[in-house]
Amino acid sequence: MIQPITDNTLDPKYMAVIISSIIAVLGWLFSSYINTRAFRRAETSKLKDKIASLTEAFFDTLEEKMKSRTLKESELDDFISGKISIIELHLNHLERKIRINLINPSQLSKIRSEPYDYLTASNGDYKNSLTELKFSTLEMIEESYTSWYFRNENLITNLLNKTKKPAN
Amino acid sequence: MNTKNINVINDFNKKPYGRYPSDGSGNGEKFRKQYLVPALQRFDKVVVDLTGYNRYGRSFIDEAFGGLIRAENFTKKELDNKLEYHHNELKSFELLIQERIEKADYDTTHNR
Repeated sequence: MIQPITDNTLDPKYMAVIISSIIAVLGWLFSSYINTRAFRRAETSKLKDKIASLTEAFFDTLEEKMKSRTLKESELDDFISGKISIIELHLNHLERKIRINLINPSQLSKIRSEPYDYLTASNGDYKNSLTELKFSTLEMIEESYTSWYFRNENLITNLLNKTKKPAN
Repeated sequence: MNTKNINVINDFNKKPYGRYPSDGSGNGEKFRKQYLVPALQRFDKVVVDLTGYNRYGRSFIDEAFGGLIRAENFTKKELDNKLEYHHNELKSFELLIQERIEKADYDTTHNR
């Protein structure tokens, strides 16, 4: 016998359509979120690699320049201020867009200043100091990136864990 | 309290560069003598805005700001109280100025 449908109840076939629509929208939102996240990570990784390359190239060229005994303070000014400002502007872009700080301003200030002291160092052993400065900066880039990557990863894991029912 | 705002690019030079007059018209010594020292003598607070130029060399910064202690006999305490500086885009310049002032203070107190 066919049940009459009252005004207050929904036809089961409409109910199925609504539920499947909601599930479809949720699935769509989830996949969109996953795609955006993957795209953001790929873009961040690309920019991080670019900054690391620029930084490495900067130190390599600086080392070459410092081999010259006739290197003047003004030549260091021309080279360091231009290159480091470009790197800092890239870093600012990343920080504003993705909230990741790959090299802190204090390290950048150190890079802007320390190489001048190597010129006047009495022992002339600038290579070790320069290598130390170079690798501490490159390490900072990688460590900041790793920290950012897993911070985001943990955010998702925590969210998924919260949605799971606690085990009895 | 009266405050003097100095915008390096608009008030002094579009391309500040170098330490001494031999380095060009936008040198650090000139900026220090013509802008910073008079302002620090006449005003309670001096705010220097470095925004608008991104290639300040250490020599300009050192001569302009570190020179206040080395050549003009200001103390670090006086500068801490009266002098403010900022670059809206590149924060490392602010730390560089701070570092050069600290270095000048160290060198002066240790007679270097």
